[in-house]
Amino acid sequence: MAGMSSKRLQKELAKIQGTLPPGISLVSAENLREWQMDLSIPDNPIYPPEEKYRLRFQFSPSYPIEAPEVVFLSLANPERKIPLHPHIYTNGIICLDLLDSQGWSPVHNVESICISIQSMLAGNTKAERPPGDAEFVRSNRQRPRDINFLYHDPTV
Amino acid sequence: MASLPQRRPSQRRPSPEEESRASPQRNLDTSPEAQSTTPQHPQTLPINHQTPVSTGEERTDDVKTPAPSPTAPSDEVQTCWICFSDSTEDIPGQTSPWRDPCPCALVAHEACLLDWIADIEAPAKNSRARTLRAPKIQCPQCKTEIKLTRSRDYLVDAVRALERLGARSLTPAALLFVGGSLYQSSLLWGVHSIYAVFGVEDGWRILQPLFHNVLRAPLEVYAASPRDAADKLLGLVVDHLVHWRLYVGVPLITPMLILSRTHLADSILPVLPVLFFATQAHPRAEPLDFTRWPPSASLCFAVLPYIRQAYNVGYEKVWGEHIRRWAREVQPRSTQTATEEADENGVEGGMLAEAIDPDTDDDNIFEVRIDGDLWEEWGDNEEADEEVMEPLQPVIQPQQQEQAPPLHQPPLAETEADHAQPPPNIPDNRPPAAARPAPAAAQPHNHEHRLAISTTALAETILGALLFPTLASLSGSLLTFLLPKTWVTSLPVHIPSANWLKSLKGTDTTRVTGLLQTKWGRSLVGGCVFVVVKDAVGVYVRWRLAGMQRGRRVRDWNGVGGVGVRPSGGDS
Repeated sequence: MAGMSSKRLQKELAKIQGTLPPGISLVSAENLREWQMDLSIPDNPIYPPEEKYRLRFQFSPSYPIEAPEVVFLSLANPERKIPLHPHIYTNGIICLDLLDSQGWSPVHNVESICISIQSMLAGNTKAERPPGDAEFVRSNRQRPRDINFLYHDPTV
Repeated sequence: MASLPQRRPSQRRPSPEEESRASPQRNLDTSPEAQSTTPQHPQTLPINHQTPVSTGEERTDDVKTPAPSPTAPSDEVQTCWICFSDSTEDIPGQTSPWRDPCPCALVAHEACLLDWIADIEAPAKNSRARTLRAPKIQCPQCKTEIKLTRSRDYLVDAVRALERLGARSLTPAALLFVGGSLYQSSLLWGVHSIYAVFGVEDGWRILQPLFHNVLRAPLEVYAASPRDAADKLLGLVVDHLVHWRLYVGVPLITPMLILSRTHLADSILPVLPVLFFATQAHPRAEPLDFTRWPPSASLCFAVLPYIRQAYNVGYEKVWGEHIRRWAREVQPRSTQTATEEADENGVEGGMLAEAIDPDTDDDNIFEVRIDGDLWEEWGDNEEADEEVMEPLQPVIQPQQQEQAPPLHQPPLAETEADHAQPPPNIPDNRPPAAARPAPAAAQPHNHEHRLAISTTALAETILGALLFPTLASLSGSLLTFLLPKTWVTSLPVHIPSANWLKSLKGTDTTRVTGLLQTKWGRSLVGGCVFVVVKDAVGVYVRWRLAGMQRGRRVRDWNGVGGVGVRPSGGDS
């Protein structure tokens, strides 16, 4: 199984190093199991175009059967913040059905995840944090994949 | 060209590459055959994006094509959408065969597909994916169901279906179990209460239909003889229907007792006696006889809430202000200003917690916050955000000793002396018993405070509520000893008398003619007396406490040492 994930990741890496959609760039993939990408959002006043957001992808040995863990990172140098979105918590955890075992299928890949997240941010009109954000950040101990999100908001 | 993919016998849906498979060349998007399919490109762009270009070739394919021309699988490069390897990397002996299980252009290795399907059917991430039926496996792009050939073992299927059913019904079963336990314990306590208030003979008469069902053998014991089982079941159903008031009413006594201590049901309970009057069944079609003495048990208990409220109002009017004043006097002076403000807002006495917002709900003035039991009266109510000093608790109590005791009596069936109605009107009688809101003292009707109920106070309330019938019964028995014999025993004396007092004593015609002659009547009256006495004692104690408070003096140190105080003119 690990063999399949490594092979697939290598192929994806090769493709990504080719061309990528605008706003998405690969930062590092030295560790095949953990990648970092930078994302920027064109055309949305909530997200200034020069501001970039750092995504961290972590792949398990059963990728692509199992979804990767994708979170936003907050860094000091270079400066990266967590984007303001009603489905993104301040600890970087993203509430997206695509990333959950219910909504994930191997037909997606790193690039498509980036595109989905980018479009989720680009189409966002509410500059707010999710409800219960502070409580969640304070008390959450689970990995994102173990959290049972309730996907109830199809508009964002 | 490179190694051809392993082929299945051709069940492959045609895809554009197959059309051009006749030609040994690969399909380039410039080739004429492929161009016939280009109009379909836009549909499958997303797929095309992820198709790796490791082979360096453009792929035109992966397009749904309407032109079916089944041809043998070609040497076209296929890419498994799960592992992203393509047919160029196949090793003939090792790579598992390619499969194309759905109309869209996604193809994959069989091993990859089986892996993915296994994950869907038995997800590692547990509970949420548990459904009643096995989840359907759909292609992520075209949503067509992917079919597998599996050997069908009906036993395995049946067992798995049962397992899923079992997993689903776990919660309802657990709830049922807990509910059943509560029901049985309520029932048992209701029986106890009825016996306490009604005494031995009447209690037995009321509860008799209930008893043999409470202790019957469960139905499954009769499974050996189906006819017996059916009989028993039928008998059980009929019994329940006929005596429904027993089965519904007796268990309800317990929660009603408890609820009457809180003000959760206060809005409903005063209404229930009206319902009772409206729905009472009169076996002899006589109207509710208000003029007959002694009144029927159901009438008594139905009227109880009103009596209680009247008492509450009277008590508040007469003693309320005094009690508040005395309570204030016991408090340190720094808190008195706050409580005065609270009092001005019409807060019921006992709102000594200055941190509390004054309760302006007018209804609550009539509410009885009763703490019925004598030993709880002096208890310490540890409501959390009460800043009331503990000595104040007793001061507050009498305010709230209202008619809890008499009114706590459980709704009881009429005695047969009054009506020949076999099923007791238990639900109808319940309102009287229930209508005693009595949260632990010093717990204002403030929503904030409801949240601060300490478990000790809760336990006190519940236990006090549950013990009340026993206390009333004991008070009634006490009356038996204290009152003259003629009042409390039933004698067949035939002295007609118009004097209501005489009839109270039971010197009228029939055998049981006085309220005090029936056990339940004594319990009722005993309970009332208990409450009144307790209130009186409480008032007295508070008054004395306030008085004693005023007389306190701090004593100087008389021995060796100490600073000594110059005698001053003032006095504290």
